[in-house]
Amino acid sequence: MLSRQIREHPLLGGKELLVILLRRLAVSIPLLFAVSFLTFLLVSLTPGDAAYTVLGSSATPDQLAALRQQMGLDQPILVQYLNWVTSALQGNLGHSLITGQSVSEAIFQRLGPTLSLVGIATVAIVVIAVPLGLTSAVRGGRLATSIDTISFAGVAVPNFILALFAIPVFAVWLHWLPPSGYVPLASSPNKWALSLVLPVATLAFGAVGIIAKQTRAAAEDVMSSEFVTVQRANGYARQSIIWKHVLKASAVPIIAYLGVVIVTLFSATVLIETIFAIPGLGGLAVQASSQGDLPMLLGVTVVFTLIIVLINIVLDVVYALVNPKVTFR
Amino acid sequence: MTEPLLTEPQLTEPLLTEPLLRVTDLAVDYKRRRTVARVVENVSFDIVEGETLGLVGESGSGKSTIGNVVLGLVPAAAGAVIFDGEDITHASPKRRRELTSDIQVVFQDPYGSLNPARSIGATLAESLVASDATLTRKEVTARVHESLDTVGMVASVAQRFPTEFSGGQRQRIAIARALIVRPRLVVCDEAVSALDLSIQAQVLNLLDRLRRERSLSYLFISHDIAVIGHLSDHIAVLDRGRIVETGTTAEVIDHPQDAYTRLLLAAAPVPDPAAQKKRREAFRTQRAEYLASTGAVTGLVSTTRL
Amino acid sequence: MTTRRGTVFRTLITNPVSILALIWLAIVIIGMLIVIPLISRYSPTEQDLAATLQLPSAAHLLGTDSLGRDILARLAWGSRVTITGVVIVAVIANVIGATMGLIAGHFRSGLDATFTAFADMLQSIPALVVLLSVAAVTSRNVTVVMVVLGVLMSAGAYRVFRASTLNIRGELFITAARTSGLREGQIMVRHELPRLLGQLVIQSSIIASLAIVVQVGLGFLGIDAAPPNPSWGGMIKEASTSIYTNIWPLIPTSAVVVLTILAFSTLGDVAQRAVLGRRRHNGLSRAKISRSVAKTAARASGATVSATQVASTAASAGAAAGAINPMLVISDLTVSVPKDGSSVKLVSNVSLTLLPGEVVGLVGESGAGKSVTARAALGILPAGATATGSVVLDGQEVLGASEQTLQKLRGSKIAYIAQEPMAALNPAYRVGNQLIEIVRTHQKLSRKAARQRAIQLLETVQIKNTEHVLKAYPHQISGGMAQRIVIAIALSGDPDVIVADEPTTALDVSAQMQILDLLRTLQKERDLAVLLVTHDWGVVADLCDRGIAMYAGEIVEEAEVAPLFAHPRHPYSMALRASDPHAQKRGGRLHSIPGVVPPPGTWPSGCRFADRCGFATDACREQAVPLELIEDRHAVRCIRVDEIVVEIEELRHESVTGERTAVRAEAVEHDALERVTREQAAADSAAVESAAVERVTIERVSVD
Repeated sequence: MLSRQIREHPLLGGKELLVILLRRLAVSIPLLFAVSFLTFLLVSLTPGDAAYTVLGSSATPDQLAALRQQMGLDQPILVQYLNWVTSALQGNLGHSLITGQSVSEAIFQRLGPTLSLVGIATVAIVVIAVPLGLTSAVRGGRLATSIDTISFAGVAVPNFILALFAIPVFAVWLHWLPPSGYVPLASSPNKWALSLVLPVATLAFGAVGIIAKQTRAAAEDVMSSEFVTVQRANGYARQSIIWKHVLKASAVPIIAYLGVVIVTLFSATVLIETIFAIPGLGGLAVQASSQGDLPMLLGVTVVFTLIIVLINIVLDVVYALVNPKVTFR
Repeated sequence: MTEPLLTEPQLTEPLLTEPLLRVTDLAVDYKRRRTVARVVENVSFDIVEGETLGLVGESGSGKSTIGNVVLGLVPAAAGAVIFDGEDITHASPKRRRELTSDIQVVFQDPYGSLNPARSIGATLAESLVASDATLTRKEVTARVHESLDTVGMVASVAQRFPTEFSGGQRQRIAIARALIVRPRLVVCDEAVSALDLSIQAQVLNLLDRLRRERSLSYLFISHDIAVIGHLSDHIAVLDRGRIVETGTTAEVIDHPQDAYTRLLLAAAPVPDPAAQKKRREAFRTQRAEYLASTGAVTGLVSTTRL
Repeated sequence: MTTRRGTVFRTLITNPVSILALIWLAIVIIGMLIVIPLISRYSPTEQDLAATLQLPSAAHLLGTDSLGRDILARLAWGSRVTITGVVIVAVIANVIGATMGLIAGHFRSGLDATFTAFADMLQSIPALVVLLSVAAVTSRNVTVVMVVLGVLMSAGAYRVFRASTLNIRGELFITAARTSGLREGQIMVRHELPRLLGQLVIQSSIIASLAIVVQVGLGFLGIDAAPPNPSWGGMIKEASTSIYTNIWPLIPTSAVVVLTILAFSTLGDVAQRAVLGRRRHNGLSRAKISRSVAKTAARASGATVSATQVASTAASAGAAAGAINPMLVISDLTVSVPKDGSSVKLVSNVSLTLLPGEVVGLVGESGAGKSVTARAALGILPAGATATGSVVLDGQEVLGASEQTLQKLRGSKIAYIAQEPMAALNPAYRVGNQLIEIVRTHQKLSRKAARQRAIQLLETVQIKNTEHVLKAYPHQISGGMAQRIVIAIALSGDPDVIVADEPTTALDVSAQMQILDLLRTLQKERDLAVLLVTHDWGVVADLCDRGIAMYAGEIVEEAEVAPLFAHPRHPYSMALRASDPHAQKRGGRLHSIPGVVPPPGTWPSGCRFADRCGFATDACREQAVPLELIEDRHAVRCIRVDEIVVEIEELRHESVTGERTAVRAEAVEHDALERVTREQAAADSAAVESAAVERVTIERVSVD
């Protein structure tokens, strides 16, 4: 269905899709370089460098110099960066200063939990928030008011605070869910699901309100337009007007918001993974930051950015699909 | 027979004097992404001081674009715009600002052309001060009141805000803003099109009176040839970016030569059942004739444009 | 209504919700940041291991934490880190965002593309992860971390400011300012910046609320004040270690954080509503304005027009005579919308009848209630409106009918053609999709058969390139084409009645003529009854059998087209006809109606046209005027209907000289807002003149 739509779409029919993707890449590739280079630059400006971090304060200047030479830290920053990029392109992001583990390997191991967390949260947000927003746009009244309230609460209660209250209630008092920890999907799908309920719920809570509110606003806008009156007046089925025509016509701002929300979800995993002791990328970033493990931190940052870039590309395509007029900014 | 021929040049003096506005071989391009479309081509006309030229055409004919070139809002791709003997086609921004005290505009949309956050007085004063910074506060106020009076509004209007006025009233205010700097040429871009028919006459009368009182020149742009006819001395008919017919109002309206002009004339419904019935038939004939004459299927009359 | 400047600020200090938010912020900033540190008996780091994890008491107002430290004192001292951080972020993000946004939005071109690409990049950066890196390499320098956060958040602010600038820039009044000779700088400062100030308040609030979340989150991860120094995030971290045993310390700390975020986002929300509410006022199309005028009209007029019992006199007489069942009977219809606790009438006591195959035109100026009446025939009322009276469609009551019943009637009994054809189609779906859907709604057909039927319908509306049109999106077709498609949609259920609301107003003249032609052909072929709303007498002359003139929510005259054009009897019909520029002779003054239609809620209790009428006397203003049958199938709402005929006859003789009317006519132009008396005098002559000349005009209108 989707592929047919893409093929027949006036803009996506062939060249245009390529153009959209190329333009996004034109922004994305410099972005990846910029983020990695700036992080790299920051690292090089740090008073105590990597060699210092590895050897600790008891190291002699000779030992430090030797290690610096070994790590290439005595070379100009640009050369260091180019070396890093060259190996990064081959999948090698260096080694942890603390454990010596390969950064790429560490990241790969931790990718699963983070992607499950954000992926499920995103699906939950779309599945709950969009119908809720659309229904409240049609019905108005109490439903609309509650969505406003939830959305407000979602903004006001940071999800890590929500998580801190949810754990005692659902895990300690009610014993419904495990308080923390993560079970890989492969070892027990059941426990995997249970272990993700609280993290996903707290991660998604605020965003559900925000997306529902945006959906309502966009749908209300569309519902006041002439074509809805024309459709009503000429006997289009009510359900079709709401769930087909209004929904698609209001999809553009909803998708735009969703893009922003997904980026913040990734940021929020840093805290949520820490609280629920989930072995994901966010937790890895916190750990690397507190240990001063700069290669690890650099790798995690680049991978996070890469994921967000990929999501943006997908959103661009969806955006073009729902909006025939889109001409990619 | 010979005598009149000899005296004729003296009788038609405008031939000897420079026109106030002369547009020659104007072309305008519209760039959209990678493609360039020529929306106006080979357009030439003169406006003599104190006279009104009506520019009529349907949407997409390029009539507003021509107005915008005269105002300096859109660049010309070729040709020249000469105002009072001076070539202003590529005038510098500074010169353009100076020209605003000679060339003014009244736009179509009376709701959008006034800043809703500024009082009428502030809007009018701003226009005046921009043209002459040496005026004292008192002089400015006096001129604001004077220009409001000219369009039939009381001085206290200056303290009010645009949302408090109806469409017709706002259009009067827009006219007051244009006239406060005492311009010589006013571009009226669909200046009455957004108004109720009953209100259009009010505004047309006002424009007509001001023109007579101040010997103003108008470039009057409209899609409605009947409206154009009321105010214009000369009419130029535009079809897809080209002038297809020019002449005095009587010539163009009463004895149209071009098939498109005839089509336009036949297209406006008249408020009389019997006359309208005749006109309907005339329209069909004209349309067939026009399509035959151009050979091209234009967007405006074809039923199949995409 | 006096001034619009500073609306946002005024709303913030008058709206009760935002006042609460401001009070809370004052408590945090004055109380916590300044006062408590000065007067508290506890130091934030002073431990009392004998009094750990205490609940609130007189000694410790908010209890103590796991090391026995006073929670209130720690919150107060800890507020410094958060507030400093938030201020840094808000200032940096706004300064960068607003400056870049204004520049990009104003100058467009290359700068815009570069800045926007840059903002794209910033927004694709996972903020918290980058901040962790920054914290790591700067040995947790909180200020640097907050500066970086400010830079990252400037992207969002940039987008908002750029979009607002673009929005304002696109407005006609900016072009008008430019043609007035203003410099770009003056335009930016005078016209663009003031509008952005409101946006600045909104953005500052939103950014502040987001910055707190991030700042406290970083504190939670240990990246802010070094222990044992207090910070809100650090306190939440400490409290989180004891949530399994004692949840108390988490409560006041979280409450303060949440309330502060809530306060900022409330301010942002209230400010946003103030700005949005204002924007809705501007830049609207004419149709929408007249609708919003209707909604904002102040008082309901106390008048109830007593007698429209002559209910659709002409037609009912006709119906009785020929014993034809009418297709549509609207009787005594009154539509009101609530406004400020009272209700304002948009249409009052309107009655009309539409016979099968008959075309009736509803004419009048904007704000007369034509569209409201016509849409009521479909059971569609303005949002929140209530209606009394009845609308009977082919024997079935429409007012108060269930949505299901209406859905069955619509399309198959009665259908609708709208004014703006480009807005009448869903921009997100292809024409074919929309047309096939409605075909299948009316008839159980396979996809293929429905497509065939859709092609047939397109051929019916004289579209040739059907396959191509079916595949097109609405934005790819012309207005005339779009209107044909809307007509095809309206015909898809084979209705008996069509309501056409200004079907040609938005079109070019030649497209208008073709659509009128098409409507006439279809009406004849299918014997459709048509209720046609228009402000154009030419359209009435072209299509209608009968005309109904409406003014200020009521019918003022109703007659068959021939007598209505040859012998209009109501002064409004006469003046409206005479003022149409299309019907007037060239050279010489145009006849016009002075003044404007009184908006709903301000209708006078007597004759509603009296203030603009040249024939009005005191008696006209005394009481509501009934609609009365003056001859067969001709009803007029005017108490002087017979006297006026005589007066016109006299005036016509006089006005032949032209002298008198010309002098008075000059005065007409001065129909200023407040010159009511003068306007009155002018109005008299104008309408008299209009009336006198209009017959002369009729005989000479034909131009071709």
